Amino acid sequence: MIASVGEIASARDLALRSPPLVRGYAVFGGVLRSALEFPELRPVAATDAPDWTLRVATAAPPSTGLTLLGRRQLGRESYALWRTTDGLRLEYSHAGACDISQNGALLDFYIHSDALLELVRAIVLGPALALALESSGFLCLHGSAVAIGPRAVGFLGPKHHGKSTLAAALTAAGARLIGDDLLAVAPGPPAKVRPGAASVRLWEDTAGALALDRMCGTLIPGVKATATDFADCALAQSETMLAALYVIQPVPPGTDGRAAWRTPMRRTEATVALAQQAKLADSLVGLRTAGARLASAAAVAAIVPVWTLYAVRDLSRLDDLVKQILIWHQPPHHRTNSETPS
Amino acid sequence: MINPMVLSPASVVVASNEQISCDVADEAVLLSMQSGEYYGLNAVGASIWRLIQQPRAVPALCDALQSEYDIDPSSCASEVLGFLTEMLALGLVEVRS
Repeated sequence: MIASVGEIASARDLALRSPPLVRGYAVFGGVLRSALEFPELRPVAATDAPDWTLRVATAAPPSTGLTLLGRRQLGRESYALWRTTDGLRLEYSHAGACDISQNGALLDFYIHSDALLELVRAIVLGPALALALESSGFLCLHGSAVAIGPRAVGFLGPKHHGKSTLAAALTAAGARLIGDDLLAVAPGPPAKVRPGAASVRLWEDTAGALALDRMCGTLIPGVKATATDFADCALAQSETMLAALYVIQPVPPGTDGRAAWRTPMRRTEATVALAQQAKLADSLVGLRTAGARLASAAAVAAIVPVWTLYAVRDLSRLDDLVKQILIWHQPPHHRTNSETPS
Repeated sequence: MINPMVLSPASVVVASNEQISCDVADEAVLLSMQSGEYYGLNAVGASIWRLIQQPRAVPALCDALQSEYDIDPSSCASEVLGFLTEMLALGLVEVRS
């Protein structure tokens, strides 16, 4: 049964809570100690030795000692990355500024009073933690992933290419969700992906088309619906070895009836593709930093097959797409999560 | 006086500082710091790229490639100049003299 956890909260609601409750959450193989509630994350004890600590304020951020590294404009919204005296600052015109300490362990989010907390949470679980993870040597990719049997399969691509839809549909078909939006890959060898936020953000039509109530207990309303509170058997809860990465290329329905097909990328092509699918855009982090990621992208492309996945853009063919991916990756005699005793 | 940006068969060329590159097996990937574009080099392109990490005259470059690949001297010179012309236009190499 899908349960709503209430209306979208704004930062004004947050300002009324004083002092904020401090909670602990499991994410990316570590613990996030947070003054902000994350209904999409699995709660754990608020340890005194977390991997990351998030503090929030509704005041304006400090404005001294800033050097601009990169800026990105998407429609009316702008994003910027600054170097501060003690690390980095991610600035969002529509949400606020998040200061990330040099070692990535401390995140101070100065939230705009009218910001949607859904967006603030997405920034923390996306770009902010990506910067923290990159400082620890991870390759942070924009994508989703599931575990099929003992191995992980990741799906990369720009917005609206179907990454979240595919991850949710595969999870409904018996795969275990690893994460959505941000893939933290340890280049290895072997290359492994860390479990991310145990939630998937979906557009309303997609959420309606999937049997979400079979796999998750909570649907958080928002600009996109966030499906969360997945059954434990539907989640990959530990680091998983990567079997393949797919760069999704949506295509119109063809005449041969196939829902999907794939072509392997050469290593050079795969390296470029992974570098281009980094969670933090080159224009945001600056080209010198982006270039430094090339080595991680090349290391992953050297040991993980990277494919172009041509997927027919048609919700009514989603089941066929899922079946095709399971045929490619499901080991023989694999027990799906729906077959696993609870 | 010779324009230093004009490429000739006798030029000395070197990889530009305005790029970041990475070896990928026997090939290479480059990111141009001017355009933000990524470029892939095949094995021969990657060999040239490695050779021009230090300033090198085009004839010396061709000699080195001929010892590595089975290619006749006139084709080698012509293809190397074509490759360097393209790289020059992309800002990935500089002509020193």
